[in-house]
Amino acid sequence: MSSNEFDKDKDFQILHEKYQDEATELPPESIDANILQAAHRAVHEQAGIEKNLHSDVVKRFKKHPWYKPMSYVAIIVISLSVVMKLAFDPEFVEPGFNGDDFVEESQTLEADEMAAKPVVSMPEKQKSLAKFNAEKSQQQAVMPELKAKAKKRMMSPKSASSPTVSASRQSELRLESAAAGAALSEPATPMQREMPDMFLQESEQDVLSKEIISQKNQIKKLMELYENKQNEKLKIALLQYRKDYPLIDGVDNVLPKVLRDLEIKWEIERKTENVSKTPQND
Amino acid sequence: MKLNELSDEDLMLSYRDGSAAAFDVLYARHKGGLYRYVLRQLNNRQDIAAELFQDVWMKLINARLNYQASAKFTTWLYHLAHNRLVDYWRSEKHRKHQVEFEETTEAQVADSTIDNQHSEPHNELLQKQMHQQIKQAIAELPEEQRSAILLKEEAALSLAEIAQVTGVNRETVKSRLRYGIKRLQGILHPLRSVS
Repeated sequence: MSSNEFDKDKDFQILHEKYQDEATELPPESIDANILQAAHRAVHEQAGIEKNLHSDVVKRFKKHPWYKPMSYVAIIVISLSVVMKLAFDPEFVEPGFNGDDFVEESQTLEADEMAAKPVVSMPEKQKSLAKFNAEKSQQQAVMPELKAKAKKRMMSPKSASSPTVSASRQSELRLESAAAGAALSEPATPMQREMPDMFLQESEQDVLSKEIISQKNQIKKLMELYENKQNEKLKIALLQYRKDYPLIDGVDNVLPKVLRDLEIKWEIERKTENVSKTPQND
Repeated sequence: MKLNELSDEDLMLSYRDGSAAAFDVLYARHKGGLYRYVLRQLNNRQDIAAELFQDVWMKLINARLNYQASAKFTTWLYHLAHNRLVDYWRSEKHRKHQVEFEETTEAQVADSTIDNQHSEPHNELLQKQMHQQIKQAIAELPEEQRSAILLKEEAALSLAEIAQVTGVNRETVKSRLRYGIKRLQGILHPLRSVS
Protein backbone atom coordinates (compact mmCIF):
# COMPACT_ATOMS: atom_id res chain seq x y z
CA MET A 1 0.00 0.00 0.00
CA SER A 2 1.58 3.27 -1.06
CA SER A 3 1.08 6.70 0.45
CA ASN A 4 -1.62 7.41 -2.13
CA GLU A 5 -3.34 4.11 -1.36
CA PHE A 6 -3.49 5.19 2.27
CA ASP A 7 -5.14 8.40 1.14
CA LYS A 8 -7.83 6.37 -0.69
CA ASP A 9 -8.51 4.19 2.35
CA LYS A 10 -11.97 5.03 3.68
CA ASP A 11 -11.01 4.83 7.34
CA PHE A 12 -7.99 6.97 6.75
CA GLN A 13 -10.10 9.52 4.84
CA ILE A 14 -12.51 9.79 7.74
CA LEU A 15 -9.67 10.10 10.19
CA HIS A 16 -8.11 12.78 8.03
CA GLU A 17 -11.33 14.80 7.73
CA LYS A 18 -12.17 14.61 11.38
CA TYR A 19 -8.63 15.22 12.51
CA GLN A 20 -8.25 18.29 10.29
CA ASP A 21 -11.59 19.66 11.54
CA GLU A 22 -10.40 19.70 15.09
CA ALA A 23 -6.75 20.49 14.40
CA THR A 24 -6.94 24.13 15.34
CA GLU A 25 -4.58 24.35 18.29
CA LEU A 26 -1.85 26.92 18.00
CA PRO A 27 1.12 27.66 20.22
CA PRO A 28 0.65 30.34 22.86
CA GLU A 29 1.37 33.86 21.66
CA SER A 30 4.08 34.29 24.27
CA ILE A 31 5.93 31.33 22.73
CA ASP A 32 5.47 32.83 19.26
CA ALA A 33 6.93 36.10 20.48
CA ASN A 34 9.86 34.35 22.17
CA ILE A 35 10.74 32.34 19.09
CA LEU A 36 10.44 35.25 16.66
CA GLN A 37 12.46 37.47 18.94
CA ALA A 38 15.19 34.85 19.22
CA ALA A 39 15.24 34.41 15.44
CA HIS A 40 15.54 38.14 14.81
CA ARG A 41 18.16 38.59 17.50
CA ALA A 42 20.26 35.81 15.97
CA VAL A 43 20.19 37.53 12.58
CA HIS A 44 21.11 40.89 14.07
CA GLU A 45 23.92 39.38 16.12
CA GLN A 46 25.30 37.69 13.04
CA ALA A 47 25.13 40.94 11.09
CA GLY A 48 26.68 42.77 14.04
CA ILE A 49 29.63 40.38 14.19
CA GLU A 50 30.29 40.87 10.47
CA LYS A 51 29.88 44.64 10.81
CA ASN A 52 32.24 44.72 13.79
CA LEU A 53 34.84 42.76 11.91
CA HIS A 54 34.63 45.27 9.07
CA SER A 55 34.56 48.27 11.37
CA ASP A 56 37.67 47.02 13.23
CA VAL A 57 39.67 47.27 10.03
CA VAL A 58 38.17 50.68 9.23
CA LYS A 59 38.91 51.92 12.76
CA ARG A 60 42.51 50.79 12.50
CA PHE A 61 42.91 52.71 9.26
CA LYS A 62 41.26 55.76 10.80
CA LYS A 63 43.48 55.60 13.88
CA HIS A 64 46.63 55.37 11.77
CA PRO A 65 45.94 57.30 8.57
CA TRP A 66 49.47 56.67 7.28
CA TYR A 67 48.76 52.92 6.92
CA LYS A 68 47.19 53.25 3.50
CA PRO A 69 49.64 55.57 1.69
CA MET A 70 52.53 53.79 3.37
CA SER A 71 51.38 50.43 2.08
CA TYR A 72 50.90 51.86 -1.43
CA VAL A 73 54.40 53.34 -1.40
CA ALA A 74 55.85 50.06 -0.15
CA ILE A 75 54.15 48.15 -2.96
CA ILE A 76 55.44 50.59 -5.60
CA VAL A 77 59.01 50.54 -4.23
CA ILE A 78 59.11 46.76 -4.03
CA SER A 79 57.75 46.29 -7.54
CA LEU A 80 60.13 48.88 -8.97
CA SER A 81 63.12 47.29 -7.28
CA VAL A 82 62.15 43.88 -8.65
CA VAL A 83 61.81 45.34 -12.16
CA MET A 84 65.20 47.09 -11.87
CA LYS A 85 66.79 43.94 -10.55
CA LEU A 86 65.36 41.94 -13.44
CA ALA A 87 66.44 44.50 -15.98
CA PHE A 88 70.00 45.21 -14.85
CA ASP A 89 71.28 42.31 -12.80
CA PRO A 90 72.34 39.45 -15.11
CA GLU A 91 72.73 37.06 -12.18
CA PHE A 92 69.13 37.62 -11.23
CA VAL A 93 67.96 36.17 -14.54
CA GLU A 94 67.70 32.42 -14.94
CA PRO A 95 70.60 30.72 -16.78
CA GLY A 96 68.35 29.59 -19.62
CA PHE A 97 67.55 33.18 -20.60
CA ASN A 98 69.08 34.08 -23.97
CA GLY A 99 67.47 37.32 -25.03
CA ASP A 100 69.60 39.41 -27.42
CA ASP A 101 68.55 42.64 -25.76
CA PHE A 102 69.67 41.34 -22.43
CA VAL A 103 73.05 40.27 -23.84
CA GLU A 104 73.62 43.71 -25.30
CA GLU A 105 72.59 45.39 -22.06
CA SER A 106 74.82 43.17 -19.95
CA GLN A 107 77.73 43.80 -22.31
CA THR A 108 77.18 47.51 -21.97
CA LEU A 109 77.18 47.10 -18.22
CA GLU A 110 80.37 45.06 -18.31
CA ALA A 111 81.95 47.79 -20.42
CA ASP A 112 80.83 50.38 -17.87
CA GLU A 113 82.22 48.33 -15.02
CA MET A 114 85.51 47.87 -16.81
CA ALA A 115 85.67 51.58 -17.53
CA ALA A 116 84.97 52.28 -13.87
CA LYS A 117 87.78 49.96 -12.75
CA PRO A 118 90.86 50.58 -14.92
CA VAL A 119 92.84 47.40 -14.44
CA VAL A 120 95.18 48.21 -17.29
CA SER A 121 97.13 51.49 -17.25
CA MET A 122 96.77 53.93 -20.12
CA PRO A 123 100.00 53.13 -22.04
CA GLU A 124 99.21 49.43 -21.74
CA LYS A 125 95.76 50.11 -23.04
CA GLN A 126 97.20 51.98 -25.95
CA LYS A 127 99.55 49.14 -26.57
CA SER A 128 96.84 46.50 -26.45
CA LEU A 129 94.70 48.63 -28.73
CA ALA A 130 97.54 48.91 -31.24
CA LYS A 131 98.15 45.19 -31.00
CA PHE A 132 94.50 44.47 -31.57
CA ASN A 133 94.36 46.82 -34.56
CA ALA A 134 97.44 45.20 -36.06
CA GLU A 135 95.94 41.73 -35.65
CA LYS A 136 92.68 42.92 -37.08
CA SER A 137 94.30 44.46 -40.15
CA GLN A 138 96.28 41.26 -40.63
CA GLN A 139 93.10 39.21 -40.41
CA GLN A 140 91.27 41.52 -42.78
CA ALA A 141 94.09 41.17 -45.27
CA VAL A 142 93.98 37.40 -45.04
CA MET A 143 90.19 37.13 -44.95
CA PRO A 144 89.24 37.50 -48.68
CA GLU A 145 91.86 34.96 -49.61
CA LEU A 146 90.67 32.51 -46.93
CA LYS A 147 87.04 33.03 -47.82
CA ALA A 148 87.80 32.29 -51.46
CA LYS A 149 89.66 29.14 -50.45
CA ALA A 150 86.83 28.00 -48.25
CA LYS A 151 84.33 28.63 -51.02
CA LYS A 152 86.45 26.64 -53.41
CA ARG A 153 86.52 23.74 -50.98
CA MET A 154 82.79 23.88 -50.57
CA MET A 155 82.27 23.79 -54.32
CA SER A 156 84.55 20.82 -54.98
CA PRO A 157 82.88 17.56 -53.78
CA LYS A 158 86.13 15.72 -53.03
CA SER A 159 87.67 18.36 -50.86
CA ALA A 160 85.37 18.07 -47.84
CA SER A 161 86.17 14.60 -46.61
CA SER A 162 88.39 13.07 -49.16
CA PRO A 163 90.35 10.12 -47.80
CA THR A 164 93.11 10.77 -50.34
CA VAL A 165 94.10 14.10 -48.74
CA SER A 166 97.48 13.78 -47.15
CA ALA A 167 98.09 14.39 -43.47
CA SER A 168 100.13 17.53 -44.14
CA ARG A 169 97.34 18.90 -46.33
CA GLN A 170 94.77 18.13 -43.65
CA SER A 171 96.74 20.01 -41.02
CA GLU A 172 97.15 22.89 -43.48
CA LEU A 173 93.38 22.94 -44.02
CA ARG A 174 92.75 22.91 -40.32
CA LEU A 175 95.08 25.86 -39.84
CA GLU A 176 93.39 27.73 -42.67
CA SER A 177 89.92 27.11 -41.25
CA ALA A 178 91.10 28.18 -37.80
CA ALA A 179 92.51 31.37 -39.26
CA ALA A 180 89.28 31.94 -41.18
CA GLY A 181 87.31 31.38 -37.97
CA ALA A 182 89.50 33.88 -36.17
CA ALA A 183 89.07 36.36 -39.00
CA LEU A 184 85.32 35.88 -39.03
CA SER A 185 84.95 36.32 -35.27
CA GLU A 186 84.89 40.06 -35.49
CA PRO A 187 83.42 42.20 -32.68
CA ALA A 188 79.67 41.79 -32.94
CA THR A 189 78.18 44.87 -31.32
CA PRO A 190 78.89 48.52 -32.18
CA MET A 191 80.34 49.00 -28.71
CA GLN A 192 82.73 46.12 -29.29
CA ARG A 193 83.78 47.62 -32.63
CA GLU A 194 84.41 51.02 -31.08
CA MET A 195 86.18 49.83 -27.93
CA PRO A 196 87.71 46.46 -28.75
CA ASP A 197 90.13 46.48 -25.80
CA MET A 198 87.17 46.56 -23.44
CA PHE A 199 85.81 43.39 -24.92
CA LEU A 200 88.87 41.22 -24.93
CA GLN A 201 88.14 37.60 -24.38
CA GLU A 202 89.11 36.09 -21.09
CA SER A 203 92.10 34.26 -22.62
CA GLU A 204 93.31 37.46 -24.25
CA GLN A 205 93.11 39.24 -20.93
CA ASP A 206 95.16 36.47 -19.37
CA VAL A 207 97.76 36.79 -22.10
CA LEU A 208 97.87 40.55 -21.62
CA SER A 209 98.31 40.29 -17.88
CA LYS A 210 101.07 37.72 -18.37
CA GLU A 211 102.78 40.01 -20.82
CA ILE A 212 102.56 42.90 -18.40
CA ILE A 213 104.09 40.77 -15.66
CA SER A 214 106.92 39.57 -17.88
CA GLN A 215 107.52 43.18 -19.06
CA LYS A 216 107.74 44.31 -15.46
CA ASN A 217 110.16 41.48 -14.65
CA GLN A 218 112.31 42.42 -17.57
CA ILE A 219 112.38 46.05 -16.46
CA LYS A 220 113.26 44.89 -12.96
CA LYS A 221 116.21 42.89 -14.33
CA LEU A 222 117.27 45.88 -16.43
CA MET A 223 117.23 48.08 -13.34
CA GLU A 224 119.30 45.54 -11.44
CA LEU A 225 121.88 45.50 -14.24
CA TYR A 226 121.87 49.28 -14.29
CA GLU A 227 122.34 49.48 -10.53
CA ASN A 228 125.18 46.91 -10.69
CA LYS A 229 126.69 48.94 -13.59
CA GLN A 230 126.87 45.89 -15.87
CA ASN A 231 126.66 48.00 -18.99
CA GLU A 232 127.43 45.34 -21.58
CA LYS A 233 124.78 43.00 -20.25
CA LEU A 234 122.40 45.93 -19.91
CA LYS A 235 122.98 46.86 -23.54
CA ILE A 236 122.11 43.33 -24.75
CA ALA A 237 119.14 43.11 -22.38
CA LEU A 238 117.80 46.46 -23.56
CA LEU A 239 118.06 45.35 -27.19
CA GLN A 240 116.18 42.17 -26.32
CA TYR A 241 113.56 44.20 -24.40
CA ARG A 242 113.04 46.51 -27.36
CA LYS A 243 112.60 43.50 -29.64
CA ASP A 244 109.93 42.15 -27.34
CA TYR A 245 108.25 45.48 -26.71
CA PRO A 246 108.70 47.75 -29.72
CA LEU A 247 108.13 51.50 -29.46
CA ILE A 248 104.67 52.86 -30.19
CA ASP A 249 104.96 56.16 -32.05
CA GLY A 250 108.51 56.48 -30.67
CA VAL A 251 107.26 56.52 -27.08
CA ASP A 252 107.71 54.05 -24.21
CA ASN A 253 106.22 55.28 -20.97
CA VAL A 254 106.76 52.00 -19.17
CA LEU A 255 110.54 51.91 -19.29
CA PRO A 256 112.17 54.06 -16.55
CA LYS A 257 113.61 57.35 -17.77
CA VAL A 258 117.23 56.46 -16.92
CA LEU A 259 117.06 53.29 -18.95
CA ARG A 260 115.29 55.02 -21.84
CA ASP A 261 118.00 57.72 -21.86
CA LEU A 262 120.68 55.05 -21.89
CA GLU A 263 118.88 53.24 -24.69
CA ILE A 264 118.68 56.44 -26.77
CA LYS A 265 122.33 57.19 -26.05
CA TRP A 266 123.46 53.71 -27.11
CA GLU A 267 121.20 53.84 -30.16
CA ILE A 268 122.88 57.06 -31.28
CA GLU A 269 126.28 55.55 -30.62
CA ARG A 270 125.38 52.46 -32.63
CA LYS A 271 124.14 54.59 -35.50
CA THR A 272 127.29 56.74 -35.54
CA GLU A 273 129.41 53.57 -35.47
CA ASN A 274 127.44 52.24 -38.41
CA VAL A 275 127.82 55.52 -40.28
CA SER A 276 131.58 55.55 -39.63
CA LYS A 277 131.84 51.90 -40.68
CA THR A 278 129.92 52.36 -43.93
CA PRO A 279 132.49 54.55 -45.86
CA GLN A 280 135.27 52.16 -44.76
CA ASN A 281 133.32 49.31 -46.33
CA ASP A 282 132.72 51.33 -49.53
CA MET B 1 9.32 37.29 -5.92
CA LYS B 2 7.39 37.67 -2.66
CA LEU B 3 8.50 35.73 0.39
CA ASN B 4 5.15 33.96 0.61
CA GLU B 5 5.71 32.45 -2.82
CA LEU B 6 9.08 30.98 -1.91
CA SER B 7 9.49 27.32 -0.97
CA ASP B 8 10.37 26.31 2.58
CA GLU B 9 13.91 25.52 1.52
CA ASP B 10 14.41 28.91 -0.14
CA LEU B 11 13.00 30.67 2.91
CA MET B 12 15.35 28.79 5.20
CA LEU B 13 18.29 29.64 2.96
CA SER B 14 17.27 33.32 3.03
CA TYR B 15 17.03 33.20 6.78
CA ARG B 16 20.44 31.59 6.98
CA ASP B 17 21.78 34.46 4.87
CA GLY B 18 20.30 37.05 7.23
CA SER B 19 16.67 37.62 6.27
CA ALA B 20 14.59 37.72 9.46
CA ALA B 21 11.41 38.24 7.41
CA ALA B 22 11.96 34.86 5.74
CA PHE B 23 11.89 33.23 9.15
CA ASP B 24 8.60 34.95 9.99
CA VAL B 25 6.97 33.41 6.92
CA LEU B 26 8.48 30.01 7.60
CA TYR B 27 7.34 30.06 11.22
CA ALA B 28 3.81 31.10 10.28
CA ARG B 29 3.63 28.18 7.85
CA HIS B 30 4.74 25.47 10.23
CA LYS B 31 3.99 26.62 13.75
CA GLY B 32 0.47 25.07 13.89
CA GLY B 33 1.39 21.69 12.47
CA LEU B 34 4.50 21.31 14.54
CA TYR B 35 2.81 22.46 17.70
CA ARG B 36 -0.04 19.99 17.25
CA TYR B 37 2.39 17.21 16.44
CA VAL B 38 4.25 17.84 19.67
CA LEU B 39 1.05 18.36 21.59
CA ARG B 40 -0.50 15.06 20.44
CA GLN B 41 2.71 13.21 21.05
CA LEU B 42 2.65 14.54 24.59
CA ASN B 43 -0.95 13.49 25.12
CA ASN B 44 -2.16 17.10 24.87
CA ARG B 45 -0.04 18.45 27.71
CA GLN B 46 0.09 22.08 26.60
CA ASP B 47 2.75 23.36 29.02
CA ILE B 48 5.29 20.72 28.08
CA ALA B 49 4.28 20.89 24.43
CA ALA B 50 4.95 24.64 24.39
CA GLU B 51 8.33 24.14 26.05
CA LEU B 52 9.39 21.42 23.64
CA PHE B 53 7.97 23.33 20.67
CA GLN B 54 10.10 26.33 21.63
CA ASP B 55 13.16 24.10 22.06
CA VAL B 56 12.73 22.73 18.55
CA TRP B 57 12.61 26.18 16.98
CA MET B 58 15.55 27.35 19.04
CA LYS B 59 17.53 24.39 17.83
CA LEU B 60 16.60 25.28 14.27
CA ILE B 61 17.66 28.93 14.79
CA ASN B 62 21.01 27.85 16.21
CA ALA B 63 21.60 25.37 13.41
CA ARG B 64 20.65 27.79 10.63
CA LEU B 65 24.22 28.47 9.50
CA ASN B 66 24.79 24.77 8.80
CA TYR B 67 21.56 24.34 6.86
CA GLN B 68 21.96 22.79 3.41
CA ALA B 69 18.96 22.47 1.11
CA SER B 70 19.75 18.83 0.40
CA ALA B 71 16.66 17.51 2.24
CA LYS B 72 13.11 18.77 2.47
CA PHE B 73 12.76 21.46 5.12
CA THR B 74 9.71 19.79 6.70
CA THR B 75 11.59 16.54 7.09
CA TRP B 76 14.42 18.36 8.87
CA LEU B 77 12.04 20.30 11.13
CA TYR B 78 10.07 17.23 12.18
CA HIS B 79 13.25 15.26 12.61
CA LEU B 80 14.40 17.88 15.13
CA ALA B 81 11.02 17.64 16.87
CA HIS B 82 11.10 13.84 16.90
CA ASN B 83 14.56 13.83 18.46
CA ARG B 84 13.47 16.33 21.10
CA LEU B 85 10.45 14.19 21.95
CA VAL B 86 12.58 11.07 22.21
CA ASP B 87 14.86 12.93 24.62
CA TYR B 88 11.86 13.99 26.60
CA TRP B 89 10.37 10.52 26.78
CA ARG B 90 13.64 9.22 28.03
CA SER B 91 13.48 11.55 30.98
CA GLU B 92 11.66 10.61 34.15
CA LYS B 93 9.29 13.52 33.80
CA HIS B 94 7.38 11.68 31.16
CA ARG B 95 6.09 8.92 33.41
CA LYS B 96 4.76 11.38 35.92
CA HIS B 97 2.83 13.34 33.26
CA GLN B 98 1.48 10.16 31.69
CA VAL B 99 -0.40 9.47 34.89
CA GLU B 100 -1.57 13.06 35.20
CA PHE B 101 -2.75 13.11 31.59
CA GLU B 102 -5.07 10.21 31.99
CA GLU B 103 -6.68 11.87 34.97
CA THR B 104 -7.02 15.31 33.37
CA THR B 105 -8.37 14.19 29.96
CA GLU B 106 -11.06 12.13 31.55
CA ALA B 107 -12.03 15.07 33.74
CA GLN B 108 -11.95 17.46 30.75
CA VAL B 109 -14.22 15.23 28.67
CA ALA B 110 -16.67 14.94 31.52
CA ASP B 111 -16.62 18.71 32.15
CA SER B 112 -17.11 19.63 28.51
CA THR B 113 -19.92 17.16 28.16
CA ILE B 114 -21.72 18.62 31.15
CA ASP B 115 -21.11 22.22 29.99
CA ASN B 116 -22.11 21.55 26.41
CA GLN B 117 -25.27 19.78 27.39
CA HIS B 118 -26.56 23.03 28.79
CA SER B 119 -25.16 25.66 26.40
CA GLU B 120 -24.90 24.20 22.86
CA PRO B 121 -27.14 22.31 20.43
CA HIS B 122 -27.00 18.54 20.37
CA ASN B 123 -25.07 18.24 17.01
CA GLU B 124 -22.25 20.45 18.13
CA LEU B 125 -22.01 18.46 21.28
CA LEU B 126 -21.72 15.27 19.30
CA GLN B 127 -19.03 16.78 17.07
CA LYS B 128 -17.03 17.91 20.04
CA GLN B 129 -17.36 14.53 21.62
CA MET B 130 -16.16 12.90 18.41
CA HIS B 131 -13.13 15.19 18.19
CA GLN B 132 -12.31 14.51 21.74
CA GLN B 133 -12.61 10.80 21.08
CA ILE B 134 -10.26 11.01 18.11
CA LYS B 135 -7.73 12.95 20.14
CA GLN B 136 -7.99 10.47 22.91
CA ALA B 137 -7.79 7.50 20.58
CA ILE B 138 -4.67 8.89 18.96
CA ALA B 139 -3.19 9.59 22.36
CA GLU B 140 -3.80 6.00 23.37
CA LEU B 141 -2.01 4.57 20.35
CA PRO B 142 1.48 3.12 20.81
CA GLU B 143 4.11 5.80 20.38
CA GLU B 144 5.41 4.55 16.98
CA GLN B 145 1.94 4.30 15.42
CA ARG B 146 0.90 7.65 16.83
CA SER B 147 4.04 9.25 15.52
CA ALA B 148 3.49 7.85 12.02
CA ILE B 149 -0.14 8.99 11.90
CA LEU B 150 0.66 12.47 13.23
CA LEU B 151 3.52 12.98 10.81
CA LYS B 152 1.17 12.05 7.99
CA GLU B 153 -1.62 14.30 9.23
CA GLU B 154 0.24 17.32 10.55
CA ALA B 155 3.30 17.48 8.35
CA ALA B 156 1.77 15.77 5.30
CA LEU B 157 4.93 13.73 4.89
CA SER B 158 5.23 10.80 2.52
CA LEU B 159 6.05 7.29 3.73
CA ALA B 160 9.71 7.75 2.81
CA GLU B 161 9.89 11.06 4.63
CA ILE B 162 8.23 9.62 7.74
CA ALA B 163 10.77 6.80 7.57
CA GLN B 164 13.55 9.39 7.39
CA VAL B 165 12.23 11.34 10.38
CA THR B 166 11.64 8.34 12.61
CA GLY B 167 14.75 6.49 11.49
CA VAL B 168 13.06 3.30 10.27
CA ASN B 169 12.49 1.85 6.82
CA ARG B 170 9.52 2.58 4.57
CA GLU B 171 7.82 -0.80 5.08
CA THR B 172 7.88 -0.39 8.83
CA VAL B 173 6.19 3.00 8.48
CA LYS B 174 3.57 1.45 6.23
CA SER B 175 2.74 -1.30 8.73
CA ARG B 176 2.67 1.17 11.62
CA LEU B 177 0.15 3.31 9.78
CA ARG B 178 -1.96 0.30 8.93
CA TYR B 179 -2.00 -0.98 12.52
CA GLY B 180 -2.68 2.51 13.81
CA ILE B 181 -5.73 2.94 11.61
CA LYS B 182 -6.92 -0.55 12.54
CA ARG B 183 -6.78 0.34 16.21
CA LEU B 184 -8.72 3.52 15.51
CA GLN B 185 -11.45 1.66 13.63
CA GLY B 186 -13.42 1.26 16.84
CA ILE B 187 -13.85 5.01 16.94
CA LEU B 188 -13.91 5.60 13.18
CA HIS B 189 -16.84 3.26 12.39
CA PRO B 190 -19.47 5.23 14.29
CA LEU B 191 -17.98 8.40 12.73
CA ARG B 192 -18.32 6.90 9.26
CA SER B 193 -22.07 6.46 9.79
CA VAL B 194 -22.34 10.05 11.05
CA SER B 195 -20.39 11.53 8.11
